[in-house]
Parts: sequence; C-alpha cells; structure tokens
Amino acid sequence: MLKVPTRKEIGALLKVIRKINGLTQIQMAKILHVSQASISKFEDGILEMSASEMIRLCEELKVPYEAFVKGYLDNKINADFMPRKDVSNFTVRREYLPNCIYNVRAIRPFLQYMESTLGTEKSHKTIKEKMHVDPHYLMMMDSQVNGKFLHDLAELVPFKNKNFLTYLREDFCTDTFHGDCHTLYTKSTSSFDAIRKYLKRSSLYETEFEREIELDKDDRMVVTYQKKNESALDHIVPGYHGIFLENFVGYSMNKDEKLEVKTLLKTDSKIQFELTAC
Amino acid sequence: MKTSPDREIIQFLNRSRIILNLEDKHLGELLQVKTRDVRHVLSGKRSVTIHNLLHALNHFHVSLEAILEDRVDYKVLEAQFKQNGTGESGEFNEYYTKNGHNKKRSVINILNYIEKHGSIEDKFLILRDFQMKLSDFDNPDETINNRFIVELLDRLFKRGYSLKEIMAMGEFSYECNKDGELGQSLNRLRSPKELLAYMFEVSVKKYDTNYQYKINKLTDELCEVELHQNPDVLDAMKVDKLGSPLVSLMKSGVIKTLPSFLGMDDFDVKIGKSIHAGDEHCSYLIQYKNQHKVLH
Repeated sequence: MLKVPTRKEIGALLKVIRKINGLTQIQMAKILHVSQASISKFEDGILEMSASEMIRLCEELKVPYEAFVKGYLDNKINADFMPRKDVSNFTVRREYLPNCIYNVRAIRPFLQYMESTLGTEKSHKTIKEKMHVDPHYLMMMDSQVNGKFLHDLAELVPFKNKNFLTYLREDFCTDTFHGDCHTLYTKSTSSFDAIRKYLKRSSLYETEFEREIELDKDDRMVVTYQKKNESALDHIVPGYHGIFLENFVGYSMNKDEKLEVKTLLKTDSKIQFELTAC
Repeated sequence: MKTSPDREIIQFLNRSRIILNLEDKHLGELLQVKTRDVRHVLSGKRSVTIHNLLHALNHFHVSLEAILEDRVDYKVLEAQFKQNGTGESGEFNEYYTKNGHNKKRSVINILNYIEKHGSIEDKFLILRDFQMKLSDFDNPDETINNRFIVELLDRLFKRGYSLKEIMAMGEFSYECNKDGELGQSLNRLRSPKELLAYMFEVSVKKYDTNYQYKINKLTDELCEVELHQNPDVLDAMKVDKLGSPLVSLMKSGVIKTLPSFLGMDDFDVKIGKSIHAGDEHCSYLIQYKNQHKVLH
C-alpha cells in the first residue's frame, strides 16, 4: 500500500506544479475556478483541494495523476507529460547547477535529517535564505545539484557529528527513507541481497562514484567506490558510505543476521569496504 | 476524459459500498471521514477531497483512471476485498488469465524495465491500474493471455512512454534473461544463424504459443521470420487479431538484442509485414551482415 501524502506535501506539490508552468496564483486560480486566496491556502496546506479540482488541474496542465498519488514529481519516465520549461521558475543559486552529479533522490537522507532536526518549515527557510535555493526545486526527484550544494548544506547542518549517523541508523529502514525502493529492499532475503539491489540502482541517483562488487560470497562481500568527479560528499560525513551499507541489514528478512563493515582502503579517489555477514 | 469527475468517483464509492456490504462507519474509516459525513459524500453534498480519494484508491486497490473510465472490475474488487477486508489477498483478474498462451516472463521483463528506469512505485501503480498486485507476477512460468500485454503497452504509451522506450522494454529482455535458463541455452550457440534457428524453431514455443513462428529465409546475412496467428487462440478469445503495433515494436526490441547472448553487436530488425497493417501475417526482417564481437 502506498503512503498517502500529507496535506502540506500536496500543497507544496501544487506550488511546484504552478512554478514549473510559470503561473501566478491568480492564473492558477482561474484554472481551478477558485479564488487566489484558496490557492494560497492550498499551497500552505491550510485548505485541501477537492478530488475534482485536482483532476481538473491534471487535465489542464498535463500532469499525471500519479504525481498526487506519490506526492512528488518524477520526470524520469514521464518527461513528455511535464512542460519542463527550465529551472528558471525556481530560484536556484547559479553555482549549484554546473557539473551536477546528484539527483535529488541521492541527497534525500541529508534533507530528511535536516527536516527532522530543524523542522520542515525552518529547514525550507534556511535553504531558501542561506543557500538561495527554492526548497520546492528539491521536491522534484529528478532535479540536479552539484557537489558544492552538498558542501554548503553541510555548513548549515552538523552532518559531521554523530547525530546524523544515529539518525541514519534509526531511520534507514522506514518507508520514507528510501521512498520508492523501500518495498524492493524489504523483500530482501539477506543484507547482501538488499545491498546488491541498492548497488544496482544507485548509479541512477548519484553519479559521483563507480560502485563495484569485487567479491561476492555467501558470507563476505567487498565493495569498492571509485570516485569519478571532484565532490564534497565524503568530506561531509566520514564513514557515511560504510554506515549506509551496514544499515541494509535492517531490510533483511533474516532477523538474526548481523553485518560487520570494515574499511579496507581509503584514498582520495577510492574507498573499499569489506562486509562480513554473521 | 470528463471534466466533471465527481459523479464517477461517487458512483464508484456507492457501488463498492453495496457490493462489499460496507457500513457507513467502515467506509468512513476507509475514506478518513467522520461516519456522519459519509452520507453527504455519497450523495454529493460534500466534496470528495484528495485525501478521501487517495485513501479509497489505496484500500480498494484501483486506479483513478479505472474509476474515471468506468473500467473497475467489481468482481475482482469483491474477491480481493472480501478475503480479508483489506484487499491485500491476491485474486488474479480472470479476464487476463483465461486462454493464457504467453508466459508471464515477458510481462515481468517489461515491469522490471519500469522499475529500473522509474521506481517500484511506478510498477505497483501500473499493476493497480489492472487491479493486479506485484505478487501476481512472482512466477515467470505462469501463463497470461495476449490481451494483457496489448493493454499494458497501450496504457504505458498513453502514460507517456515513448515508442523508443517501448522498444527498449523488448531490448531489456537480454538483461533479464542473460543469467537465466534462456541465456544459458543461447550463449552456447556460435553464430547469428544458429541463434535465430534455435530461437524461432525451439525456444519460442516454450514462451509464446499465440503465434506459429516460421523461418522463411535464413542465410549467413539475413533472416526472415513469419508469425502466423494461432487459430485456436483466435477462436477461444473471439477476436480476429492478436497483438498490436506496440507489441510488434516491443518484440522487435527483443530480437534486436538477441546477439548480445553471443557477445555480438545488435541485429538490424525491420517489421516487414503486420497483421495490423492489413497483412495476413506478421514478419520480421533481421540483418546481421558484418556482425562483430563486442569488445569489453
């Protein structure tokens, strides 16, 4: 069963759709046959749109209904549906756009941690005011940012301290953490099985590293991350990748399983982990 | 699509309430509205909000498109829902299983493509549009009828998948089969000629009996294969044509990447004849002149 997006999430999505289409609240109000004040309340999550208003919106602006079912925009497949003019309708600091290597999906854990520590509204305000990025830009799962974005984000939120790693450990297996992939991972028979699935998909979301399974045995696995581009990720949270892999044990249907992760090698361009299941 | 969809949604809720014998309290819980408001929703006095709708779609396991296009199969809904009250039990839609002459394998490959290039949610949602579950496609050796693959590709196309992507779904078949039984049988072969002979004379019979495959020409440079509709399937399904142009395109993608099993470059595939263009049978022209081994 899918998670039903909250009223606030739907409101934020409405705002993203409006901005993508370059519409003002007044223009949007005309499409939905409501007042501008109602649009403002819809976007803030104070009022809820009716199903027929949502359907009218989807038909008029050629938005797939699925955006509302899922609570976010995903242009990976449905690019033709979305009139993606460009990012000019969103304020995004220019320095964060060249050499984009991160898909928003890849930085979702960082954004979620920020929201859990500061609260959604404050973290959106921080991103908007200190980084000059419209937080709604980050609601489109296929939006792109570069390494500098993560680097600057790390200056605002203490990712380097243990709390982030604790958060990662605690929230890793909740259905919001991996979003779409959650159901895929929960079907894993072992942590190695889950990690294989993750590594197979991860290049779609983050192009910073080439990931390779060097050794794949029943109880031992060696995974190498080879850096492709200059980026800030591994400076933000030392040990992040190791903990990320270690946490996949939580998805295993084998509840007694334990996983040890040891860093075998770490250079400026390469990290290698040895994973032992016991 | 109609612009005033309230009527269809309310009609769906009313029909579901009657068929599933739901009391106001239960329906209120499913829609997340107070019991006293249920009657107002069902009579159209109170708007159905997005949340009411999304909760209903989740609980009844139907798509919004199916409601708006009035194609909800209430028999399937009843069977799924009554088993445990949540709609979680698997009740495969008979409309798509009767006269099954395709292995589910090829549909699973398409679904896996959707998951890989989109998400597991996308796969879940397209199946929900057919009132089907992910678990309905656990076993690749079960059969499914031709109608399903036709409608699946048709709905994917309407949802924005391009013709290129439909072909890529066929091409993805190599990725799905390379380590399996089919991959092991094919990668033992030595030339495109051997590969195509094995594929159309032996292998395909295990997966698809909707058509009789007949190799018309097979040389060191090209192959022409004809697909004749199985008259027994046409009779049983009471149709005069099987497949669709999109299915032909997807199949040409499957054929295109067959040489990958030999570590060679893709074939050049053209659809020669098509039942859907008025021809008596379908045919594919496959060229493999100057086929090279792919160097890694």
